[in-house]
Amino acid sequence: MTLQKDVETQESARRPRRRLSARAAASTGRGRVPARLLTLAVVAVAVLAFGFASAPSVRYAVILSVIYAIAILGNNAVLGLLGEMNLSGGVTMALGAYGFCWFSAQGMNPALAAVTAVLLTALVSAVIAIPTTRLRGIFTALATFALAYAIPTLAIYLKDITGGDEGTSAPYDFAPFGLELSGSTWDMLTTVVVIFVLLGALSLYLFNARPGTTALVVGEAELAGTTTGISHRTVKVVVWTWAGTLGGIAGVLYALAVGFIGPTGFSFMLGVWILVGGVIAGPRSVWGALLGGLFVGLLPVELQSVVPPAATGIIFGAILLIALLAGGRGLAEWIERAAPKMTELIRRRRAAS
Amino acid sequence: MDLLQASIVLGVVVGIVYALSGAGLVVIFRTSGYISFAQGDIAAVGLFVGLAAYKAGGGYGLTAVTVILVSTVLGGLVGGLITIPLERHGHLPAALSTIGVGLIIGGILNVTVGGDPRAFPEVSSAAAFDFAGVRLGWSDIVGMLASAAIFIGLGFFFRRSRIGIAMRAVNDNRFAGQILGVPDKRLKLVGWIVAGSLSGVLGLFVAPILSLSPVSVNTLLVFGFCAIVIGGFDSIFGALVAGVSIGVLSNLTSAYVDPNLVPTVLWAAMLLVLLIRPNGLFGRRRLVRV
Amino acid sequence: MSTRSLRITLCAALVATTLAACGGGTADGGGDQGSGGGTIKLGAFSPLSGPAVSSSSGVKATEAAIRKLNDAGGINGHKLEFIVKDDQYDPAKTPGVTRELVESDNVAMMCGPQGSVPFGAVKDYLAARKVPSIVNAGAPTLAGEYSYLVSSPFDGLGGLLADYAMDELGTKNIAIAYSEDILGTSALEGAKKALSEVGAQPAGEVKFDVSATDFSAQAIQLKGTNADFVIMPGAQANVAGQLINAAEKIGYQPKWGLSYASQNQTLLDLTGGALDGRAFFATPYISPESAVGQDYVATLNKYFPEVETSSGATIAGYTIGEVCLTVLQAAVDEAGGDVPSSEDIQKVMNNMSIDNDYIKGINWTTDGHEGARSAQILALVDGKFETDQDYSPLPE
Repeated sequence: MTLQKDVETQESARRPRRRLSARAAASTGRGRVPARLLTLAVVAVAVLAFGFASAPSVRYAVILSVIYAIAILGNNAVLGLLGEMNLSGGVTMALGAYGFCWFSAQGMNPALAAVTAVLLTALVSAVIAIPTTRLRGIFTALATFALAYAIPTLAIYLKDITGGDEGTSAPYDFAPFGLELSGSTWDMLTTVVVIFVLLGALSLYLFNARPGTTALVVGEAELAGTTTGISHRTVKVVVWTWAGTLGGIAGVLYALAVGFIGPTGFSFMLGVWILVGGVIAGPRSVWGALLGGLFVGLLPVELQSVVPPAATGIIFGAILLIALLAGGRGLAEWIERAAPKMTELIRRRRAAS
Repeated sequence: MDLLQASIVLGVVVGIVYALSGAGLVVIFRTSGYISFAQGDIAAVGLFVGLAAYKAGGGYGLTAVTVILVSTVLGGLVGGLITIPLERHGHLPAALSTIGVGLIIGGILNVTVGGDPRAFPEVSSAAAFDFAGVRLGWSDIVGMLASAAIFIGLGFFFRRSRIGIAMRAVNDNRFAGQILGVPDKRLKLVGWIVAGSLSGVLGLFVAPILSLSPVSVNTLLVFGFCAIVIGGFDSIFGALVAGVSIGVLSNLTSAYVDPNLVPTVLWAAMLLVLLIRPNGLFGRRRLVRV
Repeated sequence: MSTRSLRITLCAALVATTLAACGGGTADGGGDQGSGGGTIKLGAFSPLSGPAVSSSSGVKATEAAIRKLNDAGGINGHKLEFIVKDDQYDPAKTPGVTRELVESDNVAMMCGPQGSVPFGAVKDYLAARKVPSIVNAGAPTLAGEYSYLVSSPFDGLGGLLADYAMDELGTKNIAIAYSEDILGTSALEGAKKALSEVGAQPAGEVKFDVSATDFSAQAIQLKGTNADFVIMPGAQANVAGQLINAAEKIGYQPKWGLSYASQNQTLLDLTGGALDGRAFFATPYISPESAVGQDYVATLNKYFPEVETSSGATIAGYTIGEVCLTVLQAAVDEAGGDVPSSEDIQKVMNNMSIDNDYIKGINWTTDGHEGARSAQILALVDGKFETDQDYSPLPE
C-alpha cells in the first residue's frame, strides 16, 4: 500500500497540472479555486448588503437563511460527493442547539459551551455514521428519516436536559469580542456570514485537495476506491462527520439567533428542507449552498405576502421539481454554465455593432 | 386483563397495517430501485375524494372503491409523468422528486380541503369476538383478511407471474426485461400503479383510526420505512414479519418503558438489525447503490 | 485570473446586485410610523399553514370580535387594525413574524397570539420591546411582566374535574391520562392534589405521546385501572378521540373528563356519538348553547361562516378578542380619548378585573397576570355542549 501511494504521489508530481475545461469545471464543481473563492466572497457581500439594507424582520430571515446554508453546505458533502441522501441535517442542528443551551445553563462560558456543543455533535455524528454508512444510496435516507422523526419525542423524553415540550432559552447576553450575538442584530448577520465564508473556503480547499478526490472516488465508484487501497467506510464516516459538524455549528448559531429552542422546531421537515435546499441550488457548489439557504429561510417569509400561506408547499415542490428536471445538479451549476455563454453572446453583439 | 398479552395481540393488529405501508414501498423498490416519499399524500387525495363520495350518499363499498381507484390512477400519473422520466438523471433525483410531489399534493390539499382532521368511515364498528382478552372488531378481521390476501397475492405475483418475474429482473438488469420481451418503463409504471392502489388500501385502514387530514397517512410512512429496512428491502414476506414485530415492539415500549421513546426505539432497532444483517432479516440480495 | 473565471464572477456579481436591489425594495415596505391617525394596531401570530393549521380558527374568532366592534364604529371613533402573520407553529419562524409585527407594522399590543411554544420563543423579545400581549395559550409559565393570560391554568381545570367526579358523579375511582407537556403535567398535578385533599389516590396515571399512531397500550393500561372517570383535559380532540376509540375498542367505557381543548366537532366525528352523556368539558369559556353564546354564534357566522362555532378553541379566541376590546376601551379612556400607546395599555391591564358575560374571575395586578380562576363544566348532550355545572372558583 505504501508503495502504491509513493507511485501515485510521484506520478501526480510529474504530471503537469491540466486545467479543466469550462464544462468539466461546471459539471464537477472542481477546479478554478480562485474564481470560486471570489464568487463566494461576492455573493457573501451581496447577502450582507441585502441584510443590512433590510428591515429587522427580513434581516432575521436572512440570518436564519445563512445558518441553514451552513447546514446545507455540510449536507452537500454527503449528497454531492457520496451521492447519498442525508435527512438528519435537522438532527445535528438539534444536537448543537440543545448542547449549547444545556452547557451554558450548567454555568459554562458560552464560547466554551459553543465549542463543546460542536465537538459533541461531531462525536455523535461519527458514532451514528458508523452503522448508517453500512447502507447505500436511498437507504441512508430511510435510516436518517427514522432518526429525524424520533427527535421531537426524544427531546420531550429527555426533558431534564432539553426542557421538554416547553423548550429552553439560549444565553441571550452572549457578546464575544463586543459582538452582540442574538436575533436580528447586525453583528449576528456579520458573524454568520463570516462563519459561512470561512467554512465555504475550507470546503472548497478540501474538495480540490486530496480528501475531496478520495471522497469523490469513493462516491463515484466504490470498487475503484477499494482497489486503490482506500477504505471506503472510513471515508464515508469522515464525510458524514463533517456534515454533522457543520450541522452542529448551524445549531449553535440557530439557538443564538432564535433565542429559544423547542421540539417543534426540529421536526423531520427541517432535515427535508436542508436536503432540498442543497438539491435546488446544486450540491457541489459552495455559493449555491447560500442560495439554498435563502430558498429555505427567506422565500417562505417573503412568499407569504404574495400567495396564501397554505400554498407555499406547492411553490416549493414546484421549484424542487423544476430543479430536478433541469438535470438535478442545481441552479448554481446552471448559472455557472450559462455565465460564459451569456458573456460570449454580449461580446458578439458588441462586435457586431 | 393481562397487559402483556393485550399489548402483543393489539400490536399484531396494528403491525399488519405497518406491514402494508412497507409493502407498497417494496413494490416500487423492486421495480425501480428507490423509495417513494409521496405514497401518504397519494393516499390522502384518494381518501378525500372517497370521503366526498361517502358524504354524497355512497355506501362504504363505493367509498372504498373510489379511494383505491383514485390512488391507483394518481400513483400511476406521478410515476409515469414525473418520477420514472427523471430516472434518466439517476435514482437519487427520482427519489427526491417524490418529496417534491408530496409537498405539492400536501399544499393543494391544504388550500382546498384545509388541515382540520375529519372522521373517516370504517367497514363496521361492530365487535366480532374476544381473543385473548381483547375484543376484535369486524373492521380488524376484514383488515387482517384483506392484508393476508394482499401479501399472498403479491408473493404469488412476484414469484409466479411472468410480469412479476420481469419486474424483479429489470431492477437487477434493465436489459433483462427487454430479453423477456417487456419494456422496462412499462414495468416500472405497473410497479407505481400497484403501489398507488396499495397506499389507497392502507389509507382505508389508517384513516378511521388516525382521523383524516392531509398528513395523517404520512405519519405511518416512517413505520413502513422501518418495516422494509428491518425486513429486507426486497422481501414482501420480510415486510410482513417486520411490520408485525414493529407493532408489538412499539406497544411494549409504550406500555412498559415510555411512550415518548417509541420512535427512538424503532430507529435503534433498525440500526441494530443493520449492524447484524446489513440486508435486513429476510433480504437476500446485495444492495445496489443508486 | 483567467477571463473565464472573470465572467463567472461578473455573473455572480450581477446576481448579487439583483439580490441587494430586492432588499432595498423590501425595506421600503415598512409603512407608516407609530400607531397614529385614529387607528389602533393589534397583532397576532397563528399557524395559518403547515401541520397545525387547524388551530388557526382561534385567531379568526379573535378577528371576528374585532371586526364586529369596528363595524359598530370602533372605540371612541378609533378604528382597530388587526394584523395576523403565519408562523406555522414553528418557534423558529415566530420571532421573524413577531419582529415584523412590532418593528414594521408597529403594533401597540399583541392580541391572541397562539401557541405555548411559539409564544415562549418571543416572550422575552416582546418584553424587551415593551409590547404587552394577551396570549391565547394555556401554559401558566407564559405569564410575565408584559404577557397576560386569559385561559385558566390547567392544574385548576384538572382539580375542578376531580372535584366534579367526586361530588356530582359520586366516584373516587379516578384515573388520569396525560402527555408530557405543560398542559398535561399541570392537569395531572391539579387532579392529584384535589384527590389527596379528600385522602384519595388516583386509580392510575397513564402517559401518552401526542404524535403516536397507536394508543392501544394506553387504552389497555387505563382499562387495567378499572376507573369510572378518566381525567385528560390537556389532550387535543384528535388525540383524545384516538385514545377514547382505542379504549372503546377493548370494551372500556368510563366517563371522560376533558377540557375546551378537545371540545369540538372533530371529537364528536371521531368517536361517532359514543360519548353522549359520558364526556365532560372543564372550560372558563361560555357554552355555545347559552343565551350570550347565541350572540357569539351570530357574530362568527357573519364574519367567518366557515369556522366551527361549537369548538372550544374558537370560543376561546373570540373571548380573547372581547378581552382585548375591554382593555382597549379602558386604555383609550386612560389616554384621554386619544389612541393609546403600549404604555397606556399595559398600565390599565396591571389593574384590571374582568367579570362579564364572556369570562369570569380575571384579576390582573402589577404582579399577577394569570388566567381566569373560574370555570364551568359542560356536558355532551345529544351532540351539544351544554352547561352542566355553573361557573365556580377553581380549587387552589
